[in-house]
Amino acid sequence: MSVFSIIVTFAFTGNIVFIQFLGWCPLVRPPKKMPILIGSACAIAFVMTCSSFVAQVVGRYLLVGPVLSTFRIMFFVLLVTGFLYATERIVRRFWPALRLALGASVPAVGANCALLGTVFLVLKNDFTPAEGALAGFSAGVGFFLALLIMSVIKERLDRENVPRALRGAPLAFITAGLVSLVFVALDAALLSHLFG
Amino acid sequence: MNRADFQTLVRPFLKLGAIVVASAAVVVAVGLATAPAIQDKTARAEADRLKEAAGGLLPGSRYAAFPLTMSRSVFDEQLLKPCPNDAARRRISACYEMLPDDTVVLKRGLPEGDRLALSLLIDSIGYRNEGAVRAYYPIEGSGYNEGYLLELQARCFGGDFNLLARFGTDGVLRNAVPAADMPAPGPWRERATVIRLLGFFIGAKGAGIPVTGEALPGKAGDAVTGASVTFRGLGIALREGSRFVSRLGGY
Amino acid sequence: MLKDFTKGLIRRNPVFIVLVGLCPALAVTVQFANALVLGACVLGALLFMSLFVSLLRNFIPANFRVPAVLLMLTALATAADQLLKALAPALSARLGIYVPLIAVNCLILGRAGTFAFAHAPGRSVLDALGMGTGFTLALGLIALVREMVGSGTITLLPISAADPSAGVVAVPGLSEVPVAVIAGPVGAFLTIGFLMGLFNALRAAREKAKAARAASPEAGEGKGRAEAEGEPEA
Repeated sequence: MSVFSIIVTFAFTGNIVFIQFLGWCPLVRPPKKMPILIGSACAIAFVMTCSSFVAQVVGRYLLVGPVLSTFRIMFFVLLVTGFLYATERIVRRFWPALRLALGASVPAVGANCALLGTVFLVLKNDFTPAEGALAGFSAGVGFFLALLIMSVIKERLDRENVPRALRGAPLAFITAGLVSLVFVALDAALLSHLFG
Repeated sequence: MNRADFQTLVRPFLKLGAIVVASAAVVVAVGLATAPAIQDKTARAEADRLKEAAGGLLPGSRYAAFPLTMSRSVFDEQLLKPCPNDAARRRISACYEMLPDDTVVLKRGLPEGDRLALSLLIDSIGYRNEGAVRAYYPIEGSGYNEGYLLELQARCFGGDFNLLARFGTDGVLRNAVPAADMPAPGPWRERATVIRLLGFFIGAKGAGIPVTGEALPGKAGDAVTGASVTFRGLGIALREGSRFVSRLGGY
Repeated sequence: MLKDFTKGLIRRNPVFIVLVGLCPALAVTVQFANALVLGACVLGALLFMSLFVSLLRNFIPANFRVPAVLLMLTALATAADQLLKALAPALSARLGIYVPLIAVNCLILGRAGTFAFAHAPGRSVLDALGMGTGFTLALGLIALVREMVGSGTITLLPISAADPSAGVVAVPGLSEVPVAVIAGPVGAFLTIGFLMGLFNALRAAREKAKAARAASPEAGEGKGRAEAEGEPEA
């Protein structure tokens, strides 16, 4: 895949939130304040890039073979958790107001679904480690887009008159469904069909 | 250090270490137990798919497609320039012929050893084949070259996936099946749908392979609506496969 | 005691009420049988996790809870993935990355990380059974709706390489007009959103009925009982 193709695939046509369904646990209640949102997204993107890079190196060159590859899951979980923990410490040192707790119930670990899933998705392709890092970064960009869209829409919808049963999470998902229509349409083959 | 220190500082780490070791042991045990079965099943599945695509004939060894065609600039840059001496350069040039459209093609009738050596060389420079054809298997039928089995990559709605397509030496498509399970679940990529669509291409060759539903005779085009992007992706991949076979079999 | 089991089914259903474990609920619910298989895997993992964590709750150091739970769950997820690959490779390919992702499933981490640490093995196992069954039922429900409306079929047997169309039952009437969009991501979100709304409405109706009962003339004992049956934490 070319560089452009990688970016487009991981940020749009294979958007990890709307198409691959990852990272929803924290996204049902997105952060309201924009600086915190941007900060969280940057931190997540950073973790994704680093872990994709390392995972690509380890997954393609080290943990290969039928027996060693059983250690992949364990290694990736530790890798992702390690990077997340390190990033959280760095952020807490320099920017205490921003807390990586994107979800109220299971802080930080809630984002692991998206992070680990991204690592697996990147590993499925035979990228060089640099391309893997780029793919991880694009996935982070896609996650930021999703965070932004969900937060803005939720803010507007909170002011509307919504049936009591559908308030909150149900409405978030119905909205996500309509947004995902856009992302489904951004398909690589379809775009090349329309625009050559 | 005294006993209290040991209790509060070291013991938790030891306990955690025990859990780490136990988890790793579980992983290793499961890995060792299941690895042979998994390998056996994947090998069997691949052999089955090849057999299905080859339609009863026996495919030969697998050749990666990229040594076959390469653009002139990549060839000069990656293969000729790094040659240590003139002899090596002459040896490499002897394996290729130049086509009018500025591509270099592997010469026909090249000795087996030279072909494999070139494959390894191209592997080492990391040349990525961006075309649809990824690999090919020559098919023998009672002593003569019956045709070729190609691994094609088609860009369809929802992602790329691989096909196994069997062409005769005259470039006519004889059979085509999806190579592996679809990459992700989705209605536009169901295996049954793809098999149905592939049926429309069989018997065509070269530029005669349709890429739009309108090119199909009669009312067959109606069956393609709703899957036009996938149909186009499959058609383009198969066209490239047919062109590739022409370079191999020379018709 | 039985409450530990039943609370996971509807009142605190993981997917619809507590909103955990949503990622697989969206992804693998394209076909009914596959959704049930993943639900069963999560149920199994949750069961083992709750049991082991509860048995070892005095052994695991207090400030190493999260790493310990994560490690154990990773081992279980790896085991599940390997077993599935060995026994049913076609199904494993279909479920894709969502079996390894059990390793970071919010539901299991939440349950094993909080409830199992504080309660005896018996109650933990019942809690795990309830939550896991609730999760599987939720997945099954979403998949049923999505598949019936989206493809007009119900897949009763998990996909196998030998005969991919085995066990697929075509629903008369719906199979002629499948709405393919519903089988895709859009359908996932819409289905789960509306089902969540349904569960919220059911819960609100139940709360109202309970309040009405408490306000009625037999309030004396009723109120006492309502307070006594106040839900345990989480």
